[in-house]
Amino acid sequence: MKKWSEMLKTEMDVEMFSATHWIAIAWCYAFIRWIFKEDGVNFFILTQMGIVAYLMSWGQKLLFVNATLYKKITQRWRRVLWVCIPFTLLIVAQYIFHWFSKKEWMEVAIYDAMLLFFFVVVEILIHLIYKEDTKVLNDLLQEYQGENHKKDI
Amino acid sequence: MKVQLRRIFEGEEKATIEYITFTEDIKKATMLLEKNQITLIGKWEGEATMLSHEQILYFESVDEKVFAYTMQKEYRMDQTLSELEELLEAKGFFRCSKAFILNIHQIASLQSEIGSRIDAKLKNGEHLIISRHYVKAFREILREGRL
Repeated sequence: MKKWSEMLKTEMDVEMFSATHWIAIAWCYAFIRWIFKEDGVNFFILTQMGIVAYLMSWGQKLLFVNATLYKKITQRWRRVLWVCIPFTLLIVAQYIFHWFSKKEWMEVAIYDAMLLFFFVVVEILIHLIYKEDTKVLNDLLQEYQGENHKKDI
Repeated sequence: MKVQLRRIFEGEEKATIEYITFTEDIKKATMLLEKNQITLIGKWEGEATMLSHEQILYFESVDEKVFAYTMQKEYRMDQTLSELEELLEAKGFFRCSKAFILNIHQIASLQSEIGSRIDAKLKNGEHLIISRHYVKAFREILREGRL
């Protein structure tokens, strides 16, 4: 039962982030189309974006799945990968699924820049949200280590 | 028996007992000195070494084999992870995931992460993730200051 509950929690985390990614990817795409006075967004492209967003979210999740894999990776590297994984998937997907035609290099450049900015901002925001909790944890840790040191003496 | 005491201002405190016969009195003195210390036997390149619980950063279970990591070396242990958890629980060791037991005294800093996880940076620079399943218990230990 516990295993199922853990799996469900993991799936919920993934889906929450994939929904955020999907909205951002689709909105930026629609925005670029509108700016360059192109047609509306194709239903199939929207579906492909949903799948890509789900994969992006799983890619980010995998960075935290197994402690043994990451014990030597520094915090900085994990943060970089957290941005690079979805961005790489985005580049690959737009190329494979032909979201833009070959002539639309300007649209592609702006779209990629917007989404890179989005992933970086989300990463920084998450870091800021957890900053306060990190401070509380480190204060508790110091207290714990200090208290136990006194007991040892 | 002659007793010599020497005050030191830095380094690790230690007591050396020189004996001809291991008498009951020497045994009592040893136990008294080791009262706060749990000594474990770890194997490195087939050689058995005495390890104090304080020098261990964490234990890891890999393919049903348990290893203890210190700043310098890794040692193969004979005990299971559960046995070590029970033995060292009162000394600040904490099960932080299925395969790891972490020495809280060897944590340099903590970082709260997405998905209720905690990244523990150890004093040797390595990072260990305290998984969501164990985070609540970890926070309680820190708050209650359990030894």
